Amino acid sequence: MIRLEHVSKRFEAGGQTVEAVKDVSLHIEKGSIAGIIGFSGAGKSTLARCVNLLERPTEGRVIVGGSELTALSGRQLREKRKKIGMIFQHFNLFASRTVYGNVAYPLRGSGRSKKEIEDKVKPLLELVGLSDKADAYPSQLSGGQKQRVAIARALASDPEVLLSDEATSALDPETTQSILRLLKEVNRALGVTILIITHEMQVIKEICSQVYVMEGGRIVEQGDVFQVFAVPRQAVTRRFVDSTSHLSRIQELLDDPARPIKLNPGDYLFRLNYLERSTSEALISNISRRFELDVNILLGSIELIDGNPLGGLVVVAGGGHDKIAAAAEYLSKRNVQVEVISHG
Amino acid sequence: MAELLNQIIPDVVARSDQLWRAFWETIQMVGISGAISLVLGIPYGVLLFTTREGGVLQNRPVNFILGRVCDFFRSIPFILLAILLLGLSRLVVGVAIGVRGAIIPLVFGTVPFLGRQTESALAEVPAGLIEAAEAIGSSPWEIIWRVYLREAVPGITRGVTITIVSLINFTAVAGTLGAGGLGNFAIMYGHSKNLPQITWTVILIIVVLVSAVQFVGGYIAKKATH
Repeated sequence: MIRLEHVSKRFEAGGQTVEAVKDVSLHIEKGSIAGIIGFSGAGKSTLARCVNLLERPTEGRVIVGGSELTALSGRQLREKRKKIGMIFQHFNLFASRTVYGNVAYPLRGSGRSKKEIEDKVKPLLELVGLSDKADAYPSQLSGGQKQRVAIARALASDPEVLLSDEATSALDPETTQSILRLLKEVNRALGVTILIITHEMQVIKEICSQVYVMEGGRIVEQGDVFQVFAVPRQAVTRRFVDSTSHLSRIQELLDDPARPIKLNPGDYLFRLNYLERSTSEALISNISRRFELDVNILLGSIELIDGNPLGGLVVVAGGGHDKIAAAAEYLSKRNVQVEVISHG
Repeated sequence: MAELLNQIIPDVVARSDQLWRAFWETIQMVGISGAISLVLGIPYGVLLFTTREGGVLQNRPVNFILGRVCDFFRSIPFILLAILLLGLSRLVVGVAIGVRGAIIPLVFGTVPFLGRQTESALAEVPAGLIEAAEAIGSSPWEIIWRVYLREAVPGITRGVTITIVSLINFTAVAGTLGAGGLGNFAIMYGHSKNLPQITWTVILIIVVLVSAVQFVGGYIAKKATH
C-alpha cells in the first residue's frame, strides 16, 4: 500500500546540508498497522511527511495505493492526498470551526450537498464517540477528544492510508490507550492501512505488527514487532526495549551499597530473555522440579505481543553448579536466552 | 439641554450647522475610503503573506515588489503623501479638494497599513493548520479562503480597527488640505479664529468616535475567538 524506494531528504539551512532521511526503502502492506520508532531527530517525522509529500523527497520514489506520488502534478497530488489521512501530535484542528465543522472540512467545496455531508460526518462522530460534542469548539475539548476529532476529520474522505505523526505523544497514558484502541478499531472496521510514527515503545507494542527502527535518518532494523524486540540487534533497539522493561534495574540493585540482593555461595543470578513465541509452559516450576533447584524471581517483565510473551525474568538459582548448568541448557533449548549476571 | 450647551460652549452652538456638516464629512471620508481600503488592503495583505518564502503562493519577485511598494507608501508622512497625490486625485475623481478629493490620498495611506496589519494577522495562524489542510488536499486558494481568512478573523478585525482609527487621524490631516471634515473645522475655527471651545469639542467628538470603533472592533474580535 505504501512503498518507498530509496527515499532521501536533505535540507539546506544556512549553507549547511542536513540529511534528515537517508536512502530509506520500505513496503507497508494493505490493511496492516506499521510503526516507525526512533528518538527525536532520527528523521521519522520527515519520513512520514514524505509519504504524502508534505516534504518532497530530494531523491527516491513514493508510491501509495499503486500511484507514484512523486510523479504527480500539483492537482493530481491534491486529489491523491484525499486518500491519505493524517493526524498530528498537536491535533491541528481549526479553532474557528466546531467539531462538526472540522470533520466536514474535507467534504465541503467538492459539490456535496448539506445532506450528504451530514450523512458522512454523523457516523464518523459516532465512531470516535463524540456525537454529543458536534457543536463544541476545539478549545472546549480535552486532548484526547481533540485527537478523536482529528481522526474523524482524517477519515472523512475515505482514506486508504492513515498517517499518525506522534499522535499520542502529547497525551497521558490512559488517553493514549484509548486513542490506540480507536486506531485499531479504524483499521479493523474500515481496513485503513495505518503508519504510526512514535518515540514510545508502548505504542508500537500495543498496535503495530510491523516495526521500523530509525536512527540518524536510516532504518537500522525492521521486521515484525515480536522478532525485532525479542532479539534486538541494534543498540538503539535495545534502548527502546529497555525503556518499557525494568529488568535493567538489576544492575542498580547490585551496585546499591545497601546490598538488597544477597547471593549465597553457589547461587547464580540469571537474566532470562524470552526469544521465541514459545513460552507458554511453566518454565520456572519445570526447572525447579526437574533439576531440584531453588529458583527465586527477583524481577519480571513480560508482555504479550500478538499473544506471545515477550520480555524476561531476573532470577536467583541455587542448588549446585552442575544442576544449574543443566537447567541453563534446558532453557536454551526452549528458546530462552540465559545470561549470567553474577554469582555468589 | 440646548440652554446648558449654550452656556458652556456658546462658540460651538453658534456654529452647530457647520460642526454637523464637518462631522458628516468625516464619516463619509472614513466610510468611503475605509470601504475601498478594506477591499484592497486585505487582499494586499493576503498576497504579502502568502507569497513569502514557504507561503502557499510562494513567489519571490511578487513578494519583493509588494513589500517595497508597501514600505514606500508607508514611509511617506501622510501630509506629504496627500500633497503628492493631489494630481492623481484630480485625474481620477476630477477634484483635488473636498470629500471626494480626499478619497485617493486616504486610500493610498490606508491600504499599505491595512496590508501589513493583515499580513501579521495571517502570520498568527498556526503553521500546523496549514499543514493539516495541505494533507487533506486543499488547494492554495482553498487554504487562503477556508483556513487563513477564517482562522484570522479575530486578528484581521483587530487590524481593521487599528486601521480605521488611523484613518480617522488621516482625515483630520486631509482636512487641513481642504478636504473638509472635523479636522478642517477645528483648524478653521479653533486654531485660526482662536476659539478653544471648538478645538476641544472636536477632540471630544473624535475621542468618542475612536472609542466607539475600538469597542465595536473589540467586540467582534472577541465574538470570533473560540
